Amino acid sequence: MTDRPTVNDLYEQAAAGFGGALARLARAYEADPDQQRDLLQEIHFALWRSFATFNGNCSLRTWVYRVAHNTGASHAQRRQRLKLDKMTSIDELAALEVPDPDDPTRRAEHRDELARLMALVQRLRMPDRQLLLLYLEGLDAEQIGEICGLTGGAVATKIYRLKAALAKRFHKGGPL
Amino acid sequence: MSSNDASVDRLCAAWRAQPAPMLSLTPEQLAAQHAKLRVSLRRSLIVEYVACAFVLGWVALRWWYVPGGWLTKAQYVATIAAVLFVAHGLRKHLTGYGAPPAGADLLSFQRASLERLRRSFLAAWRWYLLPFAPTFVLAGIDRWFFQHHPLRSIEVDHLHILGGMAIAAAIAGAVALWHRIAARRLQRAIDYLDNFGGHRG
Repeated sequence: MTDRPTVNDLYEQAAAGFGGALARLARAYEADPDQQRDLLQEIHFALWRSFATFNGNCSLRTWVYRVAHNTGASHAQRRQRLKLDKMTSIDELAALEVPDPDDPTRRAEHRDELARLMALVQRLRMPDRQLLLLYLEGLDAEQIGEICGLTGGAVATKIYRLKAALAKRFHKGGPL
Repeated sequence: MSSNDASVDRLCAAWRAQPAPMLSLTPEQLAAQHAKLRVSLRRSLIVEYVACAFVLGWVALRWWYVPGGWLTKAQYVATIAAVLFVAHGLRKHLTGYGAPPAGADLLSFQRASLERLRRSFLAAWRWYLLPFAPTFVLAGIDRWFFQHHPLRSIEVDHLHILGGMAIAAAIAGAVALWHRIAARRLQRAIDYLDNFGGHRG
């Protein structure tokens, strides 16, 4: 007979293996630092609670990302309920104008590449935002598909457009 | 590798290199958090129940001091039934009834959450406003036929009653309309998910 890991064992494993990714994820769903801390705790708590129903049908990584993103999305939904229409999709992102490189205010505001990326992430609607975050974490199309509930092919197409949109905005030497 | 790929790879690397605070909650902290969640849920239910109890107490007092005729008694009964019905609805909604499982894939979870919210917006008027409609109608009939204002002529009093009922109906209508607009906005978000393409079977 094999000993099944307990909820606490699974949680410790998840926190140790994905702690950094969870912190980055909380930052991507919430701009306010205080709220970020609360959201991160909420994600950890949701993760711990979720392990009571974890039956091993998917990998620990898939489960952790699903629970974390679902908690983040619920948080974003509560905060941005009235702004649902104002969010952008990946396809719309590619069509958006890049900021004017000669605008000094714009340059000062967007000097930090990561800050610009974060602003862009927070502007994306779900599940485009989730797709981008998973891609930034280095997951491949198949893994992202399993987490999102999409086929690998569909994810690959989205990633292709996403990369084009990102390259357009973040190309080294390109507009800030 | 193209320069575009290099830019995106650099971005991914910078993303993962961000300083990220490691958090690991101890079993005691998790248990405390669990207890906190239960307390906050219980507290929000208690607040709603206290509000219901307050209304019921007020109705009971009025019944005691101003028993009135059969129509007044019917209003008291209708109000009590409405308050109990709303309390039941609040309990159902505040305890997370029908919430999607946390480990569901992101698209299914997102869709289920939006659909649940949309349904609650569409149904809110049925369990929050409609139960009070009988009280409202009975009060109108009572005022129209039996409880005239002593200092107004019948015609002027009827105008007042109609005006009051119109204002109350307009407020209820505005709330219902606001809910419908919110539900339509949520439906657009659901449509976006449905048209996202490439769903796993």
